[in-house]
Amino acid sequence: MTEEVFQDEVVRATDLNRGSGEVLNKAARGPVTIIRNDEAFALMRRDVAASWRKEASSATHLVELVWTALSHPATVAPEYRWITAFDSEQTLEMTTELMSAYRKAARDGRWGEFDTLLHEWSESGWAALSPELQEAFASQSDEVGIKNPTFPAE
Amino acid sequence: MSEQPALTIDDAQPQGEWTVVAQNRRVLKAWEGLVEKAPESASDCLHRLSTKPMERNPGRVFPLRHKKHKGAWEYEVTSGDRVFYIPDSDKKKVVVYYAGKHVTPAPYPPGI
Repeated sequence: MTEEVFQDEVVRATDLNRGSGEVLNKAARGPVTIIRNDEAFALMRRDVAASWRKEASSATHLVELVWTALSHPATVAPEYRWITAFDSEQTLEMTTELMSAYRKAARDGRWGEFDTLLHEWSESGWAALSPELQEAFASQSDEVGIKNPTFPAE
Repeated sequence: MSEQPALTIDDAQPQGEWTVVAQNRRVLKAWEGLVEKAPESASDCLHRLSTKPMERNPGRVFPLRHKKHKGAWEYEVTSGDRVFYIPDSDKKKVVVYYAGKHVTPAPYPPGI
């Protein structure tokens, strides 16, 4: 049986037993499907699996964000409440940025920018919802200098 | 177990091009509380505010995104503590408006 599954190479389990080194070499280049009777297993590099996992979880997260942005505020889960701080214009700005970062990360496998953008938007949302911070920004000015903290020499 | 050396505040302004001030004494007190809690992190924060307050450190130091906070920045001093400030590039001055725990939203009003 040599049909391709998920566009990767297919190897029988018996071939794996006979030549695991060669199969691992193939898996190092791209995912390999191992067939045993009616079962199919995927063999790939760990970092490739991690990247796919990350892509899937980020996509799920993005969908949750967009859905939340379209939902009534009263139905929003507590951990997503920060989204309700933004109006439709800024929600569109946010989702556009995140979508662009997602596409880039899915291409190059580097998720730092996507995670960072998500973090900065969420922090900004929480800040906008904070009455304490609102009061702080509106507080009367009576400026006083901030000095250096120092540690005595040991 | 040895004691930690006592923290003191010297009279010198932080070394840098920018002047850093607290909006008022309440903020200064909050800042001093942060210094006591996380002295090295607070010192790093002050150094950054006095030298490059408008340089983004992705995920850590960044301008707030909400339109009502345009011009304001957030600095994550520790995982649980934040400083919010507004830099003025004309005056080379940073005004700190908040120093303390991560902010929390108001509870939902009833009826929503």
